[in-house]
Amino acid sequence: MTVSLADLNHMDAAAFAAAVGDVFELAPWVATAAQARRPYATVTDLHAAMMGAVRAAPREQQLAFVRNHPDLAGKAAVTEDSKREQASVGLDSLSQAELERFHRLNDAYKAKFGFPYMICVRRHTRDSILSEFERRLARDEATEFAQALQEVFYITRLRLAAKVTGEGLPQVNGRLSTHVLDTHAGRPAVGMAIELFEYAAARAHRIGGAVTNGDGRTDAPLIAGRPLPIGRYELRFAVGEHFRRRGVEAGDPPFLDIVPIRFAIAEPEGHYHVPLLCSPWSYSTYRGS
Amino acid sequence: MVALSELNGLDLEGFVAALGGTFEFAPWVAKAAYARRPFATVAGLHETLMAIFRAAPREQQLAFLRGQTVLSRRAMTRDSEREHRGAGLETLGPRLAARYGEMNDAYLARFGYPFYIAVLRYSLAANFAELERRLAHDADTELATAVRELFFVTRLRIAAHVEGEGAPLVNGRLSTHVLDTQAGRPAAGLAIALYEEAAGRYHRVTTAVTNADGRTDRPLIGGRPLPIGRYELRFGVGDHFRRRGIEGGDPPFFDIVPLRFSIAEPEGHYHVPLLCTPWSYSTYRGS
Repeated sequence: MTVSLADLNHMDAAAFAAAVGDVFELAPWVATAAQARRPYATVTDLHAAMMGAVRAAPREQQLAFVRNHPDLAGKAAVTEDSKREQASVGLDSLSQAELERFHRLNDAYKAKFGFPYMICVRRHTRDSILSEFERRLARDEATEFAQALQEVFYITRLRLAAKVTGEGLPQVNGRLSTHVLDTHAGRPAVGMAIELFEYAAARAHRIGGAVTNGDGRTDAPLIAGRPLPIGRYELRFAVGEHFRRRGVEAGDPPFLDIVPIRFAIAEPEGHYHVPLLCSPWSYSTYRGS
Repeated sequence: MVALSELNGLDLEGFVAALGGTFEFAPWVAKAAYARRPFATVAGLHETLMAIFRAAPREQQLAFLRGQTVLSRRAMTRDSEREHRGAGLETLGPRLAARYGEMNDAYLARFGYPFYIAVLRYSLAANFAELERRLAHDADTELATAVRELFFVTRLRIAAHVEGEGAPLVNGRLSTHVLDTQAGRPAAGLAIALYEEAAGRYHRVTTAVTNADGRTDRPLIGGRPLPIGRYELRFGVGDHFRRRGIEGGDPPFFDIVPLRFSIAEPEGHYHVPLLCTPWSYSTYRGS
């Protein structure tokens, strides 16, 4: 159910809380504070006001709010939103060994900081959730609490962007795209097969594929309409097959066959354009725009 | 090692003994070549030996091939042993070794002589692929293919045993060079690993670290034919820029950069350089 910003601006406290109260998990006081500050010109402003309420709250209330969040990969995700978000990166289908590692990290984290590990899972891959977990476990309490609130910012911004329509939507989605140019022909490479892999535990898992169109691009971005999960990826381009079809001699076996481009995504809301410029004997790539 | 000038002056018995290991169990080749002395170049000597073999009756050629070792079985002579070790056949796991053995048996049954291949010129995977491909040949095509392989095998042996003018080119070279185009300098101290593909997996062949010139002190492969096959070079680009203190994202956009390529010319020079910044790279077959 979405609600328009214009409607929200006219709602009383009860209706307002009913519409966006669950954006901040089990913390109706955030919506109450935000309702008092209506109207909002943009959805981004609304989110800033809600986060402002969290940041202005007494430390004990902030802690209680953070403590209300479920353990990552724990048995009980408290709300439907939490369940859905954790399932989206496969945290609901971990192996026994992975589960034990998560439980071990959760316990160590809570013992050190007194609140659960907060991370906006939709901005991460399984690998980066784990590596961040270990990295953050080593921090001091003040730094880590600030990071927890920053993660709340990301989580609630995504939820609000999905619920509220209107002016000034926050930018919550990224885009991964590619483009293949055949620099031997001086033309876009048409009909080239591309595969996208995500690395998890040092192994590459295929998460998408496409074939280049008449412009050497893919009809749809390789990832879009969501944050780009922070992690390591590999694009594989069927360069050998392309030149074989064109009848261009390139050695037997061809010097270049499947060309892998291994790269990492660090900015979930960014645009990663990773093109390939290729001939039978050379290629180049770069982060473009 | 024997000098070409010395070979040219030997008597028949000495000449045949000196070249005896080149065409295993076929002293008739060296005997016929004796009459054609002197040889101006080592390559010319080899071409003469091969011309004698090619001119021999088909039955004699087939008899020679029948006397050759089945590759997967124990080598009969020292030269063969060394060449087979170079191909790594003895490191086959039991399943692939069994399949390779079966294909060898099928080959022997089909053509009447063992599978003959210049093992030093092929990766294990390419050796497999060749056996599979050649199993489908007709008798004439396959005999011509086997004789072509004999050309490569004997050329390597002659080059190893005879020194002098006009040595044939039998070795290839794989080299690289890393340029940090962000700094406008060679990338020094960058870690490189070379992998060879076999049965869909990559096995590490060698490692190196770039010197001050962005090159490796020695070629990645040199002093031997480059085995035909698929390879991957991996460059520690992320570490290089991290050491230089250049921001490249967290995690860095490029960490290990893999370049996957094939070698098709064992006697060729493959120069596969990398030009890189934290956000871009290019490669090409250079010289």
